[in-house]
Amino acid sequence: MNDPATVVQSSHVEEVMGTTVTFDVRDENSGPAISAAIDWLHHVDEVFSPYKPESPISKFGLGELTIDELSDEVRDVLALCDIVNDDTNGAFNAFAVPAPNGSMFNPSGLVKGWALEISAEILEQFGLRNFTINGGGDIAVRGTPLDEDGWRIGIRHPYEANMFAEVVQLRDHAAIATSATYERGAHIVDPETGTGTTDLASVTIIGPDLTFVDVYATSVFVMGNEGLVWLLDSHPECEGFAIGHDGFTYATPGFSRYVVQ
Amino acid sequence: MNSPQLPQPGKRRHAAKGSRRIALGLSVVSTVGLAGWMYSAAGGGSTESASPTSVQDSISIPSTSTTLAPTTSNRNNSTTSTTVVPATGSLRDGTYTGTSSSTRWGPVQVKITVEGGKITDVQAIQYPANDNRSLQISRSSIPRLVQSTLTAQSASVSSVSGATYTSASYKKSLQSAIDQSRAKAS
Repeated sequence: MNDPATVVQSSHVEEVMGTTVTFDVRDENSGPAISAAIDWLHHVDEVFSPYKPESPISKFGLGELTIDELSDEVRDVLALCDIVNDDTNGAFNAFAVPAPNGSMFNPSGLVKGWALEISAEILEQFGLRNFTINGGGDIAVRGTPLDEDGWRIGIRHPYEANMFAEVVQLRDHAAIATSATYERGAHIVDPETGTGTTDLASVTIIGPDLTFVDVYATSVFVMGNEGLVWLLDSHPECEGFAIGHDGFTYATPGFSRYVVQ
Repeated sequence: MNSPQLPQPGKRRHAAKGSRRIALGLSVVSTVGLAGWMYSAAGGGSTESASPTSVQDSISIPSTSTTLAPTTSNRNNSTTSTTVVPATGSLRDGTYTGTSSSTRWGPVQVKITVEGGKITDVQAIQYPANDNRSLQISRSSIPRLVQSTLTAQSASVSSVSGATYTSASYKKSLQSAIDQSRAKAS
């Protein structure tokens, strides 16, 4: 651990993709890297926003663009949507989520985590090693805060906005995402029923890659009480923590090693 | 897909029994729920009047019929004291086993350990499910609802994970408060 007095800290808060993204960097000369990551996120917003009628995603959803007319990055996202749809047995199906333009293709639930994970890679390409990027509550972690062993991250209590249900510590190369309905109402739609899901109050997933961690948080939330069993069977690289409306909490066996005592 | 045991989200709604069987693995009572449970016992069953915090108002307490019965643990072979929880609501050290209470998934019985006047461990000692994987999900530690105000937590918590906030709701969020405190400090 370094002397806290020598630790450089810079932070930046950016409104983009309909949410707010916080960069917290503990390396020197982070300005150009953060600028590049912000440019990337705004680019993603232009290409992937379902709220922008002219975005390729909006046009593809309406059939105004064919898959052959899409750029490589959009096709990459479509491929990821296919992968996670299979992986989650349809719990995460971007082709079953209504978009603002009336189509039923809305990959936003995957795009945000994917874009944030690539933002972390951009910072690394600029030589940064110790930072977090928090996009609307979904966080990519690298390294440590230097003055401590790891990044302490509070998991918001589902009923009390200013309380934590748990505090975890992450370091090196990790990601954490939480799905719940307290912020936006029932914005997580069960593809099977087309309605909001309500079994669990909150689901948090920890794993190596925010693209998938974010998707799994949504998927486990949709699966309800069986979701963590699915995670345990399918993704040993991840750990999960859920809070039920019954007042119980549920966790996979390895989750406790992240919990700050 | 690769496992016939994987849950089928569409089917579970029509197969409530199977859902229940898998569902209950848990061993963990939230601190809030447990606090209500404890106070309920201390107050002779008067749950509402004993609610120590406003949080309880918004969380349903798992059982209405639970009473604390100090017991001899049949798990650890350790004899526990026959302490009675004082009516004030403070806790005497020891191990306590709740009577079996029904949840919507089946019966659950909970054992708690009190040390130094605080609950230090909670374990479910009766599981409604025989599903091994569900038992793996079970944990036996208390999820702590950390009383987090900015002054208390900003020093140690650098980020908040929660459901996606909009740019508008961010301004009222704990993350926003942390970001502001960081901006002032630097």
